[in-house]
Parts: sequence; structure tokens; C-alpha cells
Amino acid sequence: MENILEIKGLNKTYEGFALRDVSFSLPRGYIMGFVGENGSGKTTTIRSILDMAKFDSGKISVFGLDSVKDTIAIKEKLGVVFDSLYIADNLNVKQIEQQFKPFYKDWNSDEYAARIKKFGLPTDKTVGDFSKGMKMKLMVAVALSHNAEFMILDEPTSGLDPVARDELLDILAEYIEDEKRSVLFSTHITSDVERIADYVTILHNGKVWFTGTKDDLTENYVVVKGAEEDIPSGIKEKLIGFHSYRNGFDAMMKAEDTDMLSDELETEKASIDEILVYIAKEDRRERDNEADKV
Amino acid sequence: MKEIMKLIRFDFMTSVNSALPFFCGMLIICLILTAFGVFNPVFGVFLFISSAAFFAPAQNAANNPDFRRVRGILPVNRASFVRAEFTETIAALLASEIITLILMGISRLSKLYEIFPPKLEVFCKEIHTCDGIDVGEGNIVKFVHLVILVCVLLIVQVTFINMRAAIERHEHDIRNVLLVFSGVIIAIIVSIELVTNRIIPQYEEWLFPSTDAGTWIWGIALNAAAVALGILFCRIAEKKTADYEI
Repeated sequence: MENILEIKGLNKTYEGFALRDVSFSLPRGYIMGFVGENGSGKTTTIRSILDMAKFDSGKISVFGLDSVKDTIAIKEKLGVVFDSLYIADNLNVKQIEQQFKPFYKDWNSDEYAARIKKFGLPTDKTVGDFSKGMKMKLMVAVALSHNAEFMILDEPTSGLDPVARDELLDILAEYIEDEKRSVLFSTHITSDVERIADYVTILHNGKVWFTGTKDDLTENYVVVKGAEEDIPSGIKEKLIGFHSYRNGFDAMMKAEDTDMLSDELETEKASIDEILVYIAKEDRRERDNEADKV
Repeated sequence: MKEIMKLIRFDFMTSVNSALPFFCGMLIICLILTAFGVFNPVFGVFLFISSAAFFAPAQNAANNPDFRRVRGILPVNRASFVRAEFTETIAALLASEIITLILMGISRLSKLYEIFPPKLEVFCKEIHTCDGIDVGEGNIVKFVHLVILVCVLLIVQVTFINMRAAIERHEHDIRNVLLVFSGVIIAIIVSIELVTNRIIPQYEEWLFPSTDAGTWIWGIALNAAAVALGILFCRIAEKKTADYEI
């Protein structure tokens, strides 16, 4: 299976934050949800792919090309959508086409006009008068009109109402239907990932916590609940994000370790949202333990 | 060069809705005044200001963190963004200078103001025949010198400010605008003072040549020097920002 995106050993340090050994890949024809809490490094990774941020070490390949040396060739075939508008808001959709068209060899005006019509974007209004959902659709229309084979979206659904979010996800699902194109979208709305992603990469504190298929992720982790005294010995270390209450505890663990649990404990499949929450809880617990030691 | 032209077009498109009516309005006023033979370089200053409306909003937008991200998306060399910014600035100012000088020339030929009622005709005639600013003791600083001087100073100052804005990554603010205008005004006052008080009489002919040929050579040399400085500022900005993150 050909990878449309490959990141190997990406390292990047800022003051107070670092991406550490980030590696993952996305095969052609699939959608990858790129999730993690705020500040986990999603946007920095995306900016590195786009050569907007200079990384310290590692290698990024898009379409098999080097993200730094071949950035212009890559961007010819890449569509990008950010969470906020990067287009001048005093222009109408026709003027925006005139702005972007000269930069792309494969710009297709008919495709752009069809997208604008399909998305129901008004042609007589300036972009400043558009709703957030309309602005997002406009950026998608621009991204799709130069025959992009790969789309990168950074938090595209944040701030959108449920209807606009649903429409955007449908657009992405339709985009990869020909199995030649791929989508990488970062989000912290995990229901969007559950709905359309084939692959998931979870970034936590600048490191890849998980990368693989969505099914692997959700089948490999379970939420455990019950009384604390029912936890068999040697299992507590395997619990992620352990949290005890007056009436019991809850935590997450790998599904493969559930054989060692007693029948008194309840287990259920973890959702991506729960996985993120337990990762954050585990992090907090480790920090508290460190503080207690000090 | 193709990339730079595409980017200039991109910036032009960003500003065109707001800049075009403003610039066309100014140009129409200037053309009417020229037709009646009363175009004065003071109106040329308005042309310079309105030409800035074509590049300043787009360049300001480019220094805004949201809009700057378009630089990470378009398939264009990073250096071309900087070069386009400087090219459009210099081109707009030079175009304003040339238009102003042409309109001054045409205005000198037209005597359409003679159709006005006598009082207005006298007033217009004074404007028409005025060749420059009388600075006393028979000294005149010609308007043509002032137009060239203003344009040259604007090229140097605006490109310098562009360089600073690119390196320091901030948007143009009112301090920059004040800096430009105060710089131009101070330079003109100092020049006039030098001529009026004959502080350095031996250099007077160099400062403001009295012959047409001398004026042309002086103008071309000054503009070329200003453009060269602008290119230097561009190269510095290009080099300093090469590793910047977008």
C-alpha cells in the first residue's frame, strides 16, 4: 500500500514544548484523524509538513517527495484548510478564484464553480459576510479546485454548528471515494474521527501515543470500573488514568490484559474520547506522583 | 519573475476593491485640474498616498498571523513573497512620480483656465505660471525637484519600513506612517533652507540643477539610487527572514 504521507522521527523544540520522535504514515485512499489535547503538537506537525515550521531532525515525505526540498511540487497537489480564514474577506468568490488560479497548473474553473454552487455559497457577497461554515466550505472549494490529491485540515470543524460539521465530513468522505486521495485532519472533536476516519494518530505531549487503524484503537482499549479491592495484584500498574472515588474506581487498560481481571470488575469498549481523557488523567496522576516524591 | 508577478496580482486583488475607487477618484481630479492647466504637485502627493492604498493593505494582511498562513499554502518560493512586496511598493511609487511629472508637463501646455470668469482666471493663472516655491533672494526650488525628491525619499523610507516590518514581523502602524511623512517634510525643509540661506552655495547646482538636462540626469540618478537602496533592503529582508516560521 502506497503511503501518501510518511513522517519519521520528527523532532522540533520550542521554548516549553517539544515534538519528540513523531512517526506515522497515511496510506493513499484513506482518512486519518489526528487527535490530541490542545498543545499536544498537532498544529506544529501540520506546519512542519507544510514547511511552515523548520524541524530539528527527522524526515517528512508527501507523495514520496521531500517536504522541504520539494515543497513547491508538493503544494501543487496539496489542499489545505485551516481553522481560520486565510483569504481576504473583502473579496467575493469570483475574485478569490482570480487570486488563486494563477498559482496552480491544474486549476479547474468548472470544478470551482460547481463546488461553489453545490456548497450554496453566495456569489454576490464578500467573504466577510459569510458564516464560519461558509468560510470553511470556501477554503475546501479552493483546496479541491486544483485537483489536490491530499488534503490537510487543521481543526476544520471547531466552531462549526452540527449541521455544518456534518456537511464538511460528508465532503471529506466523498473526496476519498476514488481511493486515490487522502485526508489528514486534526481535531479534538473525537466524534468526527469516529464517524469518518479510517486511521487515527493520537499525539500526547509532543509524542505519538497511538497510530494505526481506528478499529485497532477502539478494540485494543477498554474502560474498567468497579471496587478498588477487586483489582487483582499486579494489575494496577497496567491501568491508565486510574481514578478512585468513594464507591469505586475507573481506569482504562489494554484489552489484551483483561483476562487477568476478576469477574466483579466491569469492562466496556473505550471510545476515542474516553481514551483521550484517560491519557490526560494518567499524565496528571504521574505529575501528582512526581510532586509527592519531591 | 513569474512568481513575483503572480504575487503582485494576488496583493493587487486583495486591495483592489478599496484602493481602486480611491485612486481613480484622485486621478480624475488630477486629470481635470491638468486639463484646465492648474495641476499642482501638491495634488501629486495625493496620488502618492492613493498609490499606497494598492500595496499597504495587502502587505499589512501578510503580516497578520492568519493571512500569513497563505504563504505556507501557495506553491511559491518563500523569497518571492518578499521580492513581490518590495517590487510592488517601488513600482507604485515610481508610477505615481511619473504620472505626476507627466500631468505637470501637460498642465503647463493647457490654458483652458482662460474660460473661467476673470477673478477665477487670475487665480488659476497664478497657479499655472507658478514654477516652484519662491524661497527669497531670487531663489526658486522648482516643483519638479520637489516631486522627484519626495518620491525618492518615499521609496527609501517605505522600503526601509517594509524591511523592518518583515524582519520584526509586525504590521505597519501609524508610527511608521508618521515616520515617513515627517522624514519627507524634514528633508524638504532642510533642502529649501540650504538653498535659501546659501549655506553650501558651491553645491547648489548639484542639489537642484537649474537646466532641464541637469534636472533629468539628477532625477534619474536619484531614483536609481533610491531603487538600489530599496533592492538592498529587499535582499536584507529576504536573507533575514529565510528561516522564519510562517
